[in-house]
Amino acid sequence: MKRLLKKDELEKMVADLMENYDVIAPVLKEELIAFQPITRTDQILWDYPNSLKPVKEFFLPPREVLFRFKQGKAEPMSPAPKKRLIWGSRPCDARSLLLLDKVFLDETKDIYYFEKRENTLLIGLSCSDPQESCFCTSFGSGPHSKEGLDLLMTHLKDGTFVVESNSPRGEELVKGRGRVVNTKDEERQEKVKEEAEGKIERALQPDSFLEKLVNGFGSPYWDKACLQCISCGICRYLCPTCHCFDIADEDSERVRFWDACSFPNFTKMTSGENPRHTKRERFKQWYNHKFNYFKQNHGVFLCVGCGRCLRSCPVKIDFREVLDRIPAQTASPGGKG
Amino acid sequence: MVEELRKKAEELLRSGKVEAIIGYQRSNGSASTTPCFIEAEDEVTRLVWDEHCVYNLTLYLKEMKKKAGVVAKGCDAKAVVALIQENQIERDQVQIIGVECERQLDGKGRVLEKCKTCQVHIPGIYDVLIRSKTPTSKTEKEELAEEDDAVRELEAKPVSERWRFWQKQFEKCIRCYACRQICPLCYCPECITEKTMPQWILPSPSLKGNTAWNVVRAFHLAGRCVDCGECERVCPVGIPLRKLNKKLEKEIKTMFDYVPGLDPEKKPPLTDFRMDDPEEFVR
Amino acid sequence: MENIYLPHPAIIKEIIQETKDVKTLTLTFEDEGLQKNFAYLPGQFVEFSIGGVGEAPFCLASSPTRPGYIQCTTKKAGKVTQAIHDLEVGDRVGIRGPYGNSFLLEGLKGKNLVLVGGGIGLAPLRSLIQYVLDEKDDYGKIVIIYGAKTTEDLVYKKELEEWGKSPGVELVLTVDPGGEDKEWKGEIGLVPSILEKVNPSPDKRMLITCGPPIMIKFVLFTAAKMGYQPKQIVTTLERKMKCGLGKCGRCNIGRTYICQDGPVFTYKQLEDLGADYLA
Repeated sequence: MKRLLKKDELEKMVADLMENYDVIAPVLKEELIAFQPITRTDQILWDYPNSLKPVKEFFLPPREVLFRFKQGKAEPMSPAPKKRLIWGSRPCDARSLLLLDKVFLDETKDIYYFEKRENTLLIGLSCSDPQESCFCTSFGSGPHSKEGLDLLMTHLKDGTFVVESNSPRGEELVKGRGRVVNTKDEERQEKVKEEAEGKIERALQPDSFLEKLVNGFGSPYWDKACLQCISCGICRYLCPTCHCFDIADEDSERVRFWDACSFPNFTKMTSGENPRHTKRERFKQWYNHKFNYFKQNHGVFLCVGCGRCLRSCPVKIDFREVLDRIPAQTASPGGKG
Repeated sequence: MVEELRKKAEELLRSGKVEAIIGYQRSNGSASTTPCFIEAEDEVTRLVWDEHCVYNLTLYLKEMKKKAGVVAKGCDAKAVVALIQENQIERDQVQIIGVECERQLDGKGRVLEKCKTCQVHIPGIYDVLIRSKTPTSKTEKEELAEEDDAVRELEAKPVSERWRFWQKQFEKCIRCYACRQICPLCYCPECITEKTMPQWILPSPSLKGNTAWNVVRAFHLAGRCVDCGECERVCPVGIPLRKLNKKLEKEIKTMFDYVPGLDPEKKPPLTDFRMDDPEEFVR
Repeated sequence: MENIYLPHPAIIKEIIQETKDVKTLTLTFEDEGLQKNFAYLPGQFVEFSIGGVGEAPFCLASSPTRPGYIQCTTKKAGKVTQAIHDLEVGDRVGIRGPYGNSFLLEGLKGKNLVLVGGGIGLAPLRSLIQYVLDEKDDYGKIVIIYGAKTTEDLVYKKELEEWGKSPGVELVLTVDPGGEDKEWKGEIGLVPSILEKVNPSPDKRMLITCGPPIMIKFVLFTAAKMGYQPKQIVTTLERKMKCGLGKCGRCNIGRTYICQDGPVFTYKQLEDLGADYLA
């Protein structure tokens, strides 16, 4: 069901929802765009490129206490009691959660992730102004994609929003608010959508990446391709689909926290052995995980095209270029990777 | 300047003095640049030079296994001096292509803070120097005044307020270690954050661990940091790391009358000792 | 829903000092139901935790054919193993698992076996040896080749004697050159060369090896030279594993997660994993 709401009606909606939900929305915090719990609707950004950190941080937090130890026994942390609602997530970030579900909600479900997913409603905001670094349309998403969202809001650029429900929970939220859309509203929505999609100029060829990565696993190409990389964790941490983590005990707590395959000690064992002991291997792992291994194991690419890796790389590595330039070659023996 | 830069780079490669040139190239059709590694003479046309050449490329010297030439601004060249002082590179293993630099711009087109107080528009150490056609603008006196202001502003605050300020900053840290990875002088084969016996620094991004990490890193750079400002530039959450470094720089200047990155022959004060040191524990 | 990261309390019943820096711990779960129902196979591993210190993966060194307890053998190397070595009988630790596949028990049935171990790499093989000795009718002749740096570094010393006396078992012990003492009656030489010397025929035989990576590499090489087909050679791989469930993302070789699809592989499978392993 699609309804048309004015901005003040949406703000009223958020205010109402705050009574039953912890509302998390994009705000401006010291020059950075960040999702965080809000207390007033005037904190919400209604027009923003995308947040620095993806919304994955509310499902796989940068740091999360799994247990507290008492007399050597692990006591699990109880999940957040209040229901949450993420307001204004971009469609790319919503899709990333569907990819993370494949890891954390497989046959061995991760209860910490599961409870946060169950407990959280996702309200999306269509992109009207994708950036040069955006390429969501290459990965099955789009600036107006509803996938993974309970509701999608599309700004018609005159202070009114088309609000489209995509789940019974979403339908419940918007029921009786604003008015039902008419044909003209829908035409305008379509136009806004086409305009936005038109701004995404670059289309990638992920299937060619898969083939090139498989065949080019041992290629000398990687010797040079990795040179610029400084082995920091920015692209991994800010990526909405990167999900590698570490577990360690800090004082009497067992903590799970983000980790990055770019760090030299990511695979280093206590014995000193390090299976991925060169920058080349670590650089390559990221591309292979996203466009080779995950595709083979789960049938989809582990990327939503949000472009954060491009925008945030300290030395401006363009990963689209890195993939494009892998030389096409026939499979070499032992090159199955 | 670009033509001259390319010509010098070509000469260095042709003469066999270097096997690779570390320089700046255009980033995928945009105004910004990205580091490049050039090994063939006919590739020198990729080299560029303008106000978008922010990176301190001497960073890459620590993992270079070949004789390399590096394009270095004044601030970058100071890192080479420090690396020589600390026996991390041999002077004759590197060819410094110094470039005269007026100022550099950040991603939003604003002049970098460090450039506003720059005192090394012309590198203090180089093998080849590429001069600017237009002379740099500021007088030395103005620069020094500004320099002091930046630190004084911080010092003027009471300790409790300074502590609150830094706690708020460190709280943001996501432990991506971009500050460490981009730093030409962070070359420890095993960083203190990676040590677990004992675990000096808690590994997860909590205020406690973040504070320990950022403070320890600043201390480890005391008397060594050449203020290239790369750590602050790359910090994704905007921690003003230069403020920490500048404060330590000032302390070192006051205590030892020493400025890092100027003289390869001098010993950095914290790696040196004298028999007449006033402190008991040193002797 | 089960919490997959929850370590189950277990009590240390016995500690055997194997060498200067290797100990074997005997554990029982505090929960009687779990103690009764904890099912595992040789080759599988558990995450062993000490609250407030951390967690580390260890293969099970005991055999499910000898119920009532589980055993892990650990070498003092890092933060967690250091803390494990400071534990005393009666202390409480945490165990979750078992994880991973096993030593392809079905593929071994009816075959002659040669088990090639080095140093503490005998731990997972011990699980298999006990299992096979307890189910003797299902298996053919067994050759055990085990080596360590010095005589001091050999683990399970008492048990080695028992194995040597078991009918149908040939036990060959070796130490690296210079590692022998006056009483030493075994071989002197590196494990791969002793394997070549003993030369167990590849006929109807499976070779299972575990030890330091460099030893494994040469054993694979030697075995191939002796005529073993890649599918006749079995080994276990060691990787850094934090979750044990294919989520934390660090133990992969290509698309294969060692914690789930391994840690046991045939050489044939390793060849198929390709460049990432062989590199």
